[in-house]
Amino acid sequence: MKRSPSLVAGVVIIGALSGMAFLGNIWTPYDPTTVNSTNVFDPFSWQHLLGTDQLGRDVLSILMAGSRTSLAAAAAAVIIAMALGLSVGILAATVSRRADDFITATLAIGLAFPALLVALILAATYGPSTEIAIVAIGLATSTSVALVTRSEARRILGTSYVIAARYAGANTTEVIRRHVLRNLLPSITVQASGVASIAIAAEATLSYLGLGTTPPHPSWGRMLASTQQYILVTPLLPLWPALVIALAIYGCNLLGDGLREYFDPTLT
Amino acid sequence: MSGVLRRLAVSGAGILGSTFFVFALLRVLPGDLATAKLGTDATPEALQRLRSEYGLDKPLFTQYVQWLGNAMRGDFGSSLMSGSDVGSDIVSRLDVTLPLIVASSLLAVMAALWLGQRSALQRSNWKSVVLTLASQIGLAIPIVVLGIVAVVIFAVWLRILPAGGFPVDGWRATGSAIRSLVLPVAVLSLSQAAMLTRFARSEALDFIASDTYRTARATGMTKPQSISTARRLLLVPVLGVLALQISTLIVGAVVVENVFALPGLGAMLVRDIAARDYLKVQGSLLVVTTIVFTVQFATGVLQERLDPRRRTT
Repeated sequence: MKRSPSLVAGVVIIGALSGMAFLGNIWTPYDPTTVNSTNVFDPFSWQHLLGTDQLGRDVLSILMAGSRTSLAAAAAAVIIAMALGLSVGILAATVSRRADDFITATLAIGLAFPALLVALILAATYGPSTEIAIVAIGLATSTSVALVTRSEARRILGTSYVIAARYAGANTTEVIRRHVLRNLLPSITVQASGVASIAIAAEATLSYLGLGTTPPHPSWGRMLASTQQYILVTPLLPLWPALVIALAIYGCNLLGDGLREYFDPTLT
Repeated sequence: MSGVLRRLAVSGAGILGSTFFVFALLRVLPGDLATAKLGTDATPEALQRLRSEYGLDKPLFTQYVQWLGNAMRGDFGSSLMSGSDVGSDIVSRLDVTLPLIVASSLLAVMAALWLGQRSALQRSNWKSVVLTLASQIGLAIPIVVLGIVAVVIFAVWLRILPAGGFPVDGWRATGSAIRSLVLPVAVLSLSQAAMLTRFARSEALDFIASDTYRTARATGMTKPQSISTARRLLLVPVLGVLALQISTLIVGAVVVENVFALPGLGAMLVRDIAARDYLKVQGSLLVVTTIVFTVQFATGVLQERLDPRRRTT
């Protein structure tokens, strides 16, 4: 099977950023929180590859440390959204028509609430924090996962091999485990990358607004906010986190497109 | 006519339901309004006095009805932090937010219709590549990143537009007010137009495959002329998507107002959330939900007027 270029590019981008996050966890060129007032706004140099910010902190180190917060938050949101969405979706596919109609209608209302709006309301209630942002993003994105999973699972449950398995005596749990979950795998991976791209954007935006990751933890969104006031002095400073955020989201989108092509070669 | 009435009822129920949801959520907190205002070391008597002053000792539903009744008469209460009147705060903020939202939606719809028709006609040249790339960027990049990049390019490097802020005189300084809204509107409408263009394009492609288009071509019209006969046909689904996306658009406005330091409702909402000024958050969210449901109601009615086939359903 020929690998699609989107898949390769997506894997490379996401792999590189995750590598940066893992490395940032154990080693950064400088301590990302150390303030050094003697060399603020340093341009590029061999000591500071991307220069220093308004407090003399090494930009590359903050970016690396921030990637951990941003990617870990996105990963956690993906796990919540997939766990919730998959269970509700499969439940809706297996229960009676009427119960299914009720679940679907409820989910359709949930679709009207974008991740950021849910996060704003939850932040208003419980105060800003990374955890609240993760829960809000996971909750808000789980509705579309549930709806897609529901229709996919219904289709799989109607296939002849599932009916054959049922005649052979398999109960619902067995059918779900052996047939539904396995055949959902393509849809799961594609949706997870979609949720990841939404989650990265939402986490960055919330932290930018001061309603997500709080100081002193470094995050890409907070970098954007704290460097924006110096935009007239050093326009490059806010462009670094902007670039990394855009790259991460684009990587997730490429990964999703690539996975879709990989699982369904008729698309290309 | 009954269709309009039914829509009105649905919108009303939607506003009531979602505001009650927000109201209840803000009330079931561990620390209530009184502790938020007076702090945790306040005496029980002082807390009790404040609770009865704000009606917090009454049942939740009674509180909601009372608050909503007052809000309908324009009384949103006063801010817990600054003591200013919430209603007039919101009204003064709408001066910036409403023009921002309306201009962005109009621009996004017009751009989507035009680009959708264009890209449906020319499927394989460099223009369509540029269009697809632009819509990919608009879809993929969050508004906050788009906004900051726009500031760097147009305000710092090219120096043709302000980096943010709004004239103190408001709309009386018309020229500079418009100038300070150019970048915010552009950023907000780009992210919306990217989504809408995809729908407009697929509708336009359907139309090109239809007999109507073939007949129009057969009468001697050029391709652009023929496709422009379907303007109404394309507008109806695009409006539908816009109505579905209106809450995304408003959240986008919240972000844009913060990026460009505009004194709008969204910027105020974020500040109030951070300061835990519940009464103001409640009031702002009531206004936001009312805008969302009003827009959905209006687009529904507009769609029926534009497309007679929808009237019977």
